Amino acid sequence: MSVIRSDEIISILKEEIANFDMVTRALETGSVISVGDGIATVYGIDHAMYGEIVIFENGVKGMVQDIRRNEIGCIIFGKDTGICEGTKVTRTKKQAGISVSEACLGRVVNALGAPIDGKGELPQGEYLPMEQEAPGIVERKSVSVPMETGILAIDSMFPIGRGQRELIIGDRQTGKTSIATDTILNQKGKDMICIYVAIGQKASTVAKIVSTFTQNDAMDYTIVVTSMASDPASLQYIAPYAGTAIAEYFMKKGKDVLIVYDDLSKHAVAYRALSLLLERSPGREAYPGDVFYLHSRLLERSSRLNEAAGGGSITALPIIETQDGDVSAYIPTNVISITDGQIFLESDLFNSGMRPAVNVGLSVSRVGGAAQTKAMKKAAGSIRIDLAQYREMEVFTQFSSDLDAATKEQLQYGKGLMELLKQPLGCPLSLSEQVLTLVLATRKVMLDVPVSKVKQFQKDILEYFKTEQSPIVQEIEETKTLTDQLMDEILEAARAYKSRFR
Amino acid sequence: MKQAAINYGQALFESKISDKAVQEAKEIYESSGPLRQVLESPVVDEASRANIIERVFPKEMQGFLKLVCSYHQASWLSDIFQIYERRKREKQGILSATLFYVRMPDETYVRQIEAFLLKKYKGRQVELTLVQDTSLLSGFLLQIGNIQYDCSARGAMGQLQQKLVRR
Repeated sequence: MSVIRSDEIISILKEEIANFDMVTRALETGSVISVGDGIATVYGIDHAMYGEIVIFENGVKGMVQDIRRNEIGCIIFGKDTGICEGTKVTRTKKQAGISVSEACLGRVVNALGAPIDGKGELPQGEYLPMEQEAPGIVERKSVSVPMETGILAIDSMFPIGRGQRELIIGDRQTGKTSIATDTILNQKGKDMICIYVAIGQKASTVAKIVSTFTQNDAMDYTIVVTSMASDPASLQYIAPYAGTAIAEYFMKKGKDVLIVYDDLSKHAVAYRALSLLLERSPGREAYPGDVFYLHSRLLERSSRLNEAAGGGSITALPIIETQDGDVSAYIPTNVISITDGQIFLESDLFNSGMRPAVNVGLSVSRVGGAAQTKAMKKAAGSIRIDLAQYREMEVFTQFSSDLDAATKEQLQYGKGLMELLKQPLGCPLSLSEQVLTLVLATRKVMLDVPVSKVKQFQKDILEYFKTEQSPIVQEIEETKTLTDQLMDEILEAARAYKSRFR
Repeated sequence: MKQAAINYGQALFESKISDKAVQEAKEIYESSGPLRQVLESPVVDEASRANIIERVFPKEMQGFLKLVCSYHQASWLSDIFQIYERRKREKQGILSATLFYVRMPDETYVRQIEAFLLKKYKGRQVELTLVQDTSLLSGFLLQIGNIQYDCSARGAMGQLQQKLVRR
């Protein structure tokens, strides 16, 4: 924590007072007529704009969220204890925004952009409005560059491209946050800026995530925006917009940004609380009518810009928590329809030891295929179909003694594949490692390896390729293609390794 | 203030009822507490209420008051009269402003403020109310409707505080 001496404070104060020039201008004021639950009703500000910041007499800020004929409804960004009936409120004529600069990198900030990590204050940066229009079609470019998560199950079957919005959906305790944090860890050295937006999370959870990032040197390229569970609903509501404003700052500078919204279910709940307090009509599941627009306008800001518009991109990984696997609830269906695909995580798979617990049947990536490298596309081949066939046949496993050899082989192959897709936390695989694993698996090199030893075999053979077959690894990493000749070389090297292994 | 009360006030202002009758009715309504209670009470039937209105209020105002009371909205009457006054003042070009001060300003200063208001808000006459407010510390604060001109030490300190907090 940076320390500031008392004489420095005095000199700063003296300098500020000496340079202070009082501005007297006409201020539009109103007075509070009622306040409660983080909402203030103000009478008198006749020309308030929707989304404008107003300042209460005690210095607390609020945002105009409801404009009625003679009064306005404001959400309060802070404690409402100092606000009472008659408190004066002044217009700022400024939209709610956040100050962003390069100095934000590596910092933990709240929804208003103020640092909360005890590393001192942030310098005044560019003031960007939280609510901004999404880029138009002229400024956009199609998704074609991959955003590697380092997770084999995702990169091989549900590839994510830079500028895509891929939903991570599943019940509680299924590893949703882990996928997001692993993806952030995998962006090290890939010229990607990561933003992790925690919405309504426990402070301890956020602290744990920040410490994981710090331990893995991921904070150098990451910004954490938090609105804790104890923060008012208003701050939880603006947190993802603030995070997106930060992302847009970097995107417009031509950088690629990854933003994780953890999670949008809590965001919708915070917005529901605000809407009900603002006396808006409740709809399905008591959410207001514009809850779809709440998320669509947020996620529509994730895009890939063309060179003329700056050339940057925002890849969004929104997270949604389902209740008992129900994807047909209101918020999950909304966000599924907004995003460009979803990674569905299942409790049963998670509990059976399949981690990441990705349900291959229900997960999809709608635009990521175009962004997948040629090497990965060729290596992954028919893995999805093979897994689907295995799942269908899995029921016959109990009659294994009566099965014919071909079916037995297919079952063994499927089991091996499932085992290979298991990946521990914080162990992302590089492109070459993923391609090699997939080539060896789909070409059935590992078929005779017992399922319990598949992971160890994978580890050893990847190490062998790294140390003794480095030209192959290098070629995959550099060309990102997989020629037939290279494939033969891989298989040849694998056979040589296996003969030595025996 | 309810929008309906604003609409009633506007309708009263636009009606052909003389200002004298409105002022008289307002005075009667404001002077008697029991009368207000009777007009607002839901247990008093409409015929009795109409009878009272006919006996107490000027003839020109009776129809309007009966209409308001028939919808059980007599409690809005003070707001209705307030809107009527506001519209009347707007039409006459009378500006109402309040000057909060710490030390009583001299006559010349007050005239200058009035001249500024007339020029800025295009009025014909200014009704300036002077109110002492020591919490301003020094200087003054001018309030006209929702618009405020803060030239006080308290306002300056607030601005400085905001600047320092933002820093």
